[in-house]
Amino acid sequence: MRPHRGTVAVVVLGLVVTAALAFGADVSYQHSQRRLTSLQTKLTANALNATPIDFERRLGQVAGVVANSADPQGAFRRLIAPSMKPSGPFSSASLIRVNGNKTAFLAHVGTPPIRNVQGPVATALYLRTAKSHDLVTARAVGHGIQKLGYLMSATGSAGTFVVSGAQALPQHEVLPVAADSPYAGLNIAIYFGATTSRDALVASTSAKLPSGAYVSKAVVPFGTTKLTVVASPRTALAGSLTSALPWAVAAAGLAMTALVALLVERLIRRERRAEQLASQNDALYQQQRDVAITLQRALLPKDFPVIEGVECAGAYLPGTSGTEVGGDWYSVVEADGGGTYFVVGDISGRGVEAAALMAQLRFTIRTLAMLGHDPADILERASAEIDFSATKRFATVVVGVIDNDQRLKVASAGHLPPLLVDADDVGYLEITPGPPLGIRSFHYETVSVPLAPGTTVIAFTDGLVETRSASLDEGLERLRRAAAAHGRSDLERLAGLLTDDLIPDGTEDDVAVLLVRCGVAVDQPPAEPSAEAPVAGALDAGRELDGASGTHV
Amino acid sequence: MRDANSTGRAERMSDLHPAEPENATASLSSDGGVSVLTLSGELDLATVADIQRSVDAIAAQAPEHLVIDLTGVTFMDSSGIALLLQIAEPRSRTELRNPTPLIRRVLEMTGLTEILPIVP
Repeated sequence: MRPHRGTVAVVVLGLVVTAALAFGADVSYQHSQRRLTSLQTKLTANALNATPIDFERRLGQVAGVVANSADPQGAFRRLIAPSMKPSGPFSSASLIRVNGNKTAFLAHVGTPPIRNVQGPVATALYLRTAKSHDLVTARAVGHGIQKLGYLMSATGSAGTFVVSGAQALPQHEVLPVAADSPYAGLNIAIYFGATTSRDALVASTSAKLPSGAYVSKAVVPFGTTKLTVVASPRTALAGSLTSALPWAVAAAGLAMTALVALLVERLIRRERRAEQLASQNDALYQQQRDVAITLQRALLPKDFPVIEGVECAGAYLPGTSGTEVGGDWYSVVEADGGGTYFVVGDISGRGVEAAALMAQLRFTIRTLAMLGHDPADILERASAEIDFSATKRFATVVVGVIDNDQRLKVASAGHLPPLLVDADDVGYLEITPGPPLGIRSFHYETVSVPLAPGTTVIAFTDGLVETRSASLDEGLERLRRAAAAHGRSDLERLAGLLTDDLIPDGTEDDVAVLLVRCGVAVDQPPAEPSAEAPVAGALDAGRELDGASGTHV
Repeated sequence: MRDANSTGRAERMSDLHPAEPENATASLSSDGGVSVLTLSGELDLATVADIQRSVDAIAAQAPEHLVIDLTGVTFMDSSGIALLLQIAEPRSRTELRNPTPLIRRVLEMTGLTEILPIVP
């Protein structure tokens, strides 16, 4: 799977920050390395610079005495002795008398000279020393050794004399450096003169000469010439941690980046998955709801039977509280022997089982009605179709019939009474309901009242009048008032007006309403459509009042 | 539709009954040798589902003759009626006691008083 954009951004940001921090640490390391190397090099050079002062003092004293001595050679040998190895610094020493441009080699002690002391190079050096009042330094190389020479002159009663002392060192001497010495961290090389050629190398602390990015150089006066000190760090001078720091920063940064990226990716995936699930749930919920409503619709009558002098309208509004199909229904049946039966019922609970029970009860009651049974008899017989102890469901049903003599006969199994709307009065049918169907066998009672022509009978399920905010009686009264206000309306319009008035925002429970008007043919103006025609008009009216539910006539 | 389903109910209940508890409760006691199951709160689809198990447990140990006290019941829909019928169903004699006028009306309208008599 491709990583999410957010994760990529986190990785990029992490890498950039890591690189910046590592780079900063490295710059800081390099800076301190360079500074410390330079500092150490200067310190080393300054220490070397101090050496000739001692030599100048020793040789100057000898030359001064010799120049005023009656026995210059004897004085030289006597005075130079303490400065000779092993107690002194010099491995050899010479005494030369200078007279104008002439030199005379008078005496020599210690190791033999490596150069012709009468030669032009030596002669020039002596003459130069005779003119100088300072320490003259020189270096001679030969036979695998190098000699560093220090010369002082003095002029006295005995003439002008040059005293020379020399240190013999192996050529390219490697000086041992103790591990705890301040120079331990450096490769140091000392060159005679201002150049750093291999020939001029006097000594180094290692066979490996200073090299690399942090080479530092210092030049100090050394008698009449100079010494050049070159050094490079052998290790991280500020401690090994400083050199490891950039890598440590980089490693920690990479690890953190990887960790954060992993976390972010996981979180993003989880959230995506949750979103996916949520949208799937939404779709599924909507689907279930659609299925429920479709099923409910399928179980309700598509068209009411065409009965002469009888007008019908019904409305079914699915509840807002769930996806499951409800168990409300209504039917209108014309009995074989005449008479218009109407039924409104409600199976407790919801779901496919409730819908199946509803279908079963509905068809049983239809059949019994078609056969012309008395309403109470219908309820008693239908009660056997539903068994509370097995299904935990019961049904409230009201069955009524308007017979050929314009009498209304009604029986109720725990159902709300029908509302009767005639020209003079609006009121509920007075009836004592028996228990709901399915509990136990019961002897229901049929109430019989005369019905004025044009009376509208309104039967409904409790969703229409039952609210939490008001009592059942208040709900019934609201319906009564609404019916009184709109009672004269066209029947299919009335269904919409009633549901609009009572449950303008829908309700949790399903609602079924059935309206039946009898003996209307007498009052209808001739232009009024026949019993079949209102079907189309009713559907339109139904769509107007609630886009999701239909009204059937 | 979806919004109404997920939040509508809770909103409606809190709008209309801000101070009243939404939960239903059930408890069993004895009153002069008669077992009394006391129900209270609103008995609707949601609350009945909540107390169904405790009611089942109580009903299982209650004797053949049971009185259901409805003093504290403030609302009852068909779920509440189903609950009463369920408690009464395996028993030879079940009576209802002290319903509020509103609840009494619901019981009468649903014909329940025909099989579950209200006793003083």
